[in-house]
Amino acid sequence: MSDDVHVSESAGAYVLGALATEEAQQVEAHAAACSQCRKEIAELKQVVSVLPLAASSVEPSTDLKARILAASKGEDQADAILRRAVVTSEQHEPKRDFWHRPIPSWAGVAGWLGLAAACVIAGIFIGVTGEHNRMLAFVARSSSSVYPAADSASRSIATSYAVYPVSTEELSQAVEIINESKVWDFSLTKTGKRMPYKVIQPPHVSHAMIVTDMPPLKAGMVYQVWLVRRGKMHRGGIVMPGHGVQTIIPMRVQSGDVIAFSMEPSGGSALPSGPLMMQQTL
Amino acid sequence: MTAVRTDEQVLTALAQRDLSALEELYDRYSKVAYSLAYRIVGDRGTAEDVVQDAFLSVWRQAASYRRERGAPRTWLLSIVHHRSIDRLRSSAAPSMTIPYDDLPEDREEAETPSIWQQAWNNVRGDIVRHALARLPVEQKKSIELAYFSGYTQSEIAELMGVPLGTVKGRMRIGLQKLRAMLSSQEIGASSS
Repeated sequence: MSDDVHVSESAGAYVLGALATEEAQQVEAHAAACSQCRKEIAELKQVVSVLPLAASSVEPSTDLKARILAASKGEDQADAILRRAVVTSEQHEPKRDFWHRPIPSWAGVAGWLGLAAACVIAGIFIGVTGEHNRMLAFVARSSSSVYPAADSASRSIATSYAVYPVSTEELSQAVEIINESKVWDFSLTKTGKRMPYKVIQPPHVSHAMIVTDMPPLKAGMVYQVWLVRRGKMHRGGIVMPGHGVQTIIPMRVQSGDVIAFSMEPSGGSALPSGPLMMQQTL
Repeated sequence: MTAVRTDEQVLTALAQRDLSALEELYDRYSKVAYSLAYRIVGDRGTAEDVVQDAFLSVWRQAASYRRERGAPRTWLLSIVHHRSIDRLRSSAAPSMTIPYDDLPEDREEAETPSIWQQAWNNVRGDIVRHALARLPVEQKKSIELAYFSGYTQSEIAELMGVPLGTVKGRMRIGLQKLRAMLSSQEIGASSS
């Protein structure tokens, strides 16, 4: 598809979200300069906007409204606490304690409190959780670096596998842990870039994991996680930019907790210095 | 008698952290939002998570709402749709071994509307469902597989055993026909 060829053939697939990213971008680029295609896309978008009404009517549970209202109040409260913390955190003394060391994306396999393999699975499987069987089959046959270039999940698996040779049995155990974990799955958009983001609470342990993809930062900066519960802010680990990066929250997380990220000097901070981003209620 | 706020006025109030506005928005659109999420993800708990996430997103971002994004309802439901498809894609890749004719049909569930807004949604839902049902089956399936099941055009082509161009054509022509049918019933073009 070139810029001077109308994209109306792809207009239906585009408005239905059925195009691959690259082709969708080509359609958008063409439509930006072509009023004819722009008009057709706008018309078809209107049709798509009423498709939700075609879903058969189903009632949510009666307490959902109360939960949403409570969460919105909690978010406002957490927001105020986090912002107040930013204002008061004038002195930044980099912390380099256990929770605030940078954790490289492969470090989950290094054996952290018995959850190493779980970290690996979580890290490499962000966005594709549920394909465990396919992944295990792949790992079982992939002792070499040969893997389908188009399959980024498989490539991540092979990369992690090469860094630390986790056995198929260990991976299988890790899959069991993940399957028993409570997972909050967010996909956030920041300046047009989608950032998959999962909070994982494995059973029977006193901490939670976060696995995400984070965009690049300027040198000397890292991301840091914060948790707010019932008016109190708790410090989480730091997150390096990258794909499938992981960190921890040194406490069990639960529904209603508010998770936020901030950008901090390397080594992390005792209080968020901002800017705050990606605030989410679990 | 208190005047009913328009959706735009509700969003303005949301931007000013008016919790009653969030309640109002929920009363208007929770059912259609939940129905959409449930149709896509097929699980009540996940659908409720999606709906909660969508309403909270609107709560957070109401101040940055611009009319160019579409009507508030369109914006909210677009968030629900995207979040639902994200959940669907992240929880399991669509199986390419299921013949498309065997894919489950829409989950039917009789419900009683609680307020006139919900009743209005149901009436419109009937119109949209009726219009979809009048499409040639291949066009209807292509649209549903993309919108409600999150399949890409390539996956649909493989699933249905037809060339990619055929899928593109079915989607486009199907949507054009829907537009014509819905426009004649004063829904669609004027609704967003």
